[in-house]
Amino acid sequence: MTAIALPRLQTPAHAGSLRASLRLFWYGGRISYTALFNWARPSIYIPTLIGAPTFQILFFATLGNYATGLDPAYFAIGNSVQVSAMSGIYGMTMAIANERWFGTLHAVLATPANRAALFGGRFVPFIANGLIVSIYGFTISWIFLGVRIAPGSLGVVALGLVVTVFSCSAIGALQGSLSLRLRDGLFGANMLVFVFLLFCGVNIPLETLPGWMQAIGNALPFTHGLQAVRQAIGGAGLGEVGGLIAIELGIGVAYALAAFALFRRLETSSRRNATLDVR
Amino acid sequence: MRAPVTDSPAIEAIDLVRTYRTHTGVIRRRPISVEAVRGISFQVRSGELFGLLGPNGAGKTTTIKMLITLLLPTAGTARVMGFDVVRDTTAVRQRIGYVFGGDRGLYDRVSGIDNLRYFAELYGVDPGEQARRIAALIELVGLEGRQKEKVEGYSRGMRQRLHIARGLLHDPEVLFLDEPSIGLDPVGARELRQTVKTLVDAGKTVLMTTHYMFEADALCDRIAVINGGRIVALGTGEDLKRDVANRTIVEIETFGVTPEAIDRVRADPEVIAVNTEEREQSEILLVQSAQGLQITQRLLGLLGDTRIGKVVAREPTLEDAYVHLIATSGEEASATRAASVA
Amino acid sequence: MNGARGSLRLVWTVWVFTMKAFMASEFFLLTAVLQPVIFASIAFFLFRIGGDAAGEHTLLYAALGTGMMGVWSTTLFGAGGAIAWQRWEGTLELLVAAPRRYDLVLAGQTLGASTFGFYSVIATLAWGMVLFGMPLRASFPVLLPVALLAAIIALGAMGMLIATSFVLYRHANALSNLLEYPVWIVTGLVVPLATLPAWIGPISWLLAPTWGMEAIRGATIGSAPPWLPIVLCMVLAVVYWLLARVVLVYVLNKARRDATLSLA
Repeated sequence: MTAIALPRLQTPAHAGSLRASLRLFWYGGRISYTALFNWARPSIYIPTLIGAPTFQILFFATLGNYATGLDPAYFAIGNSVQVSAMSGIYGMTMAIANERWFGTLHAVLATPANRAALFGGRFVPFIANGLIVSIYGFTISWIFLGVRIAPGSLGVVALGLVVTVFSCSAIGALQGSLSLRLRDGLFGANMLVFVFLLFCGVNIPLETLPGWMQAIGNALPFTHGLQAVRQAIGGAGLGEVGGLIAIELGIGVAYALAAFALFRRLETSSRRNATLDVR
Repeated sequence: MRAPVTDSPAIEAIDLVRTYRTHTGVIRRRPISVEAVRGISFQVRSGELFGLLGPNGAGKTTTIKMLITLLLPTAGTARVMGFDVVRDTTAVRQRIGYVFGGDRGLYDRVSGIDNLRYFAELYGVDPGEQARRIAALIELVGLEGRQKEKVEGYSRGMRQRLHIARGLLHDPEVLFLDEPSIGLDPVGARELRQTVKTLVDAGKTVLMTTHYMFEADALCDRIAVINGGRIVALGTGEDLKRDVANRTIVEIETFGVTPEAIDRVRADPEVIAVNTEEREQSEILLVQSAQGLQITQRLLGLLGDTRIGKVVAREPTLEDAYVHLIATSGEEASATRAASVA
Repeated sequence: MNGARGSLRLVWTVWVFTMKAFMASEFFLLTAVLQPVIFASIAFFLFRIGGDAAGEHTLLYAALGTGMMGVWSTTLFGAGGAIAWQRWEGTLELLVAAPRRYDLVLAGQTLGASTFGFYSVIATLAWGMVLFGMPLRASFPVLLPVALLAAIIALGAMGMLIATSFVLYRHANALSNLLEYPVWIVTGLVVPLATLPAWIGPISWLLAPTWGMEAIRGATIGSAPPWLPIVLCMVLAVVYWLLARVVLVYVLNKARRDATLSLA
């Protein structure tokens, strides 16, 4: 190592400034996507988030059509949205839980960084990711299964998708925070994804489910957003689906706040009792 | 000794105590208290290189975690640069760097420079200075040319160097190094020590924990020896050696020495202390006696039928002081720990 | 301990060991029980909407189909996972260098995976019975265990072929993700092959789950004893086994040449 003198910083570092928090949110979020998302590499991304979803859409479209006689497009739409939500659920789980895996959590918590910017910045790349996956899913559905988005509805559909991916990422973040304390995050994330397939109107119209299952579906992210997207594809405008989108957004915000609150709570309790000691 | 920049201490620990609540037993879980740190006090002057030296489990990591705000003290106070670690957490975090050893603690899947960029954002390093700062640090720690590679391909030594670069991003006044040379090969460890020296020469305050006694002796201005959650000695390397300075150490290599033989040696009035080291096939007895005393023959006699190998009479080193301190404080510590199990 | 008896014994030991390992793994709890049960529920609801609610035929069909989906998942992830796990643990090199034949070890692992997968069938049947009132029946009860065994062996052999192909590929688990759904579709597990495009037919004949499913269906809800599917299962098993051994030799040589075994 060299004996060069290390100059002082001309402007002292200041993590508390708004600018620093915004930068952490944006640039930090991007770096942590590559650092923490297990599937960021193309060799894993393509089979898992492009390849498998293609066949998932085809599977449920054929099964649903055979079993119920409903138009395969119904199932194609449900699953196209679901696969984009999957990237949010798995991705955000990893974005938080993998700090434990890499042993970086205490290094991060020893900094004065704004925790909200740290946490929130991780959502952004996954929302973008979700949009990409859903574009792909809808393309498949358009080519093979006759899904047609009504012209002029693209904007509303996109809005519905963004909000849905956000709220699914929020529940993924909650799962990630939980798994900091409890156990293997991906088990819970997998369970969530399966539950969504059953309870949230992806394949089974919500009104045909027993009441208690509808209640669960309505309390989960995704359900309202999917309904909004379905209606928008059919030509409904913002005026008609705005309410559903707003509910979905509200649910997403609630889960995101819960996830953040849990994260902060874990940080505090770890200072008291060394519960997050991962050395 | 570098001139202190200010009069008030850079790091101050006052009667720090840290107790963990935990459970023992599987079927009937009894709550117990483990006292990891039992009243530690010391001060580190600005620009000083201070060592916390002790065996594993002594409480070094717990102490350092309290000082860097990752752990709340159960009792006592600590201040860094005048800021209380409990009340002024953000101010403390902004002014300290935290460097730890081992294999983990970096984002393997991104490059070294991206790891630094991320932490530069976490510390709020001014954007206009980030690139320059990161480049200077990479050069300082000798990672030029390798900074764009993913950390998963780095050797242990390279990771350690990246850890140091990370700890310096925001130009902290005080650096905390937790067992930084652990797992490093001798060359890497030596390079690390040189870097630490450079930092202190530049005016930084460094607190370092280690269980390598020679490292503490070589590097640190002052050393606190910690065992069983308490400081058992505090001073410069010379001070600590002074405790054993007017002694002679007789090193006796034995093969299969019995506890009774050791007790006989201990019981001798001229013998101050006996510490033993286990080797694979043999043991080394370190017998301390007053300086200059020619007791080697008598010791060999006391050992009786024990098979003897090499015998050396020599000056004491810091290691002897350390071994002795740990041995004596360890006995007290286990006596009091048994009493504290609730 | 040599010759055929020794080989069988090795396979058996690894088979049993693998099953025990799976029982302790929560990932396999997910794959072999929770996932099939959810998919079975989806299938039950869908068939109900379609108006076949009273059709015991349909519910049993759906339960068996989704159970078989679980068998495939377990076999697939077991095969891909076995290699990935060994690579991660660093034992892949050791095993390959071991005196006993690695192909026997692989066979034991993949058979263990496909056997364990049958928890899926049990799970979906139990689920259907308890929650959806599905009645159990078997047209040819004596043939049922034979059909089950044939399916296990055929799937295990197919898993072995997959496992050998994965030895060189670093991200085997990602490929496993990819192969789950397409095989479910193409082997006609819940959607009859007759309703799918004609070109899928020949592909399906080459895949173990197709005949395994036919064998089990035949023994439970079929009208004729499923001899043909059972025989085809065994034939396919032998073909896969031979192919797997050829691929394994090639792959291991390549790995030794290119030093790719140890990449974790």
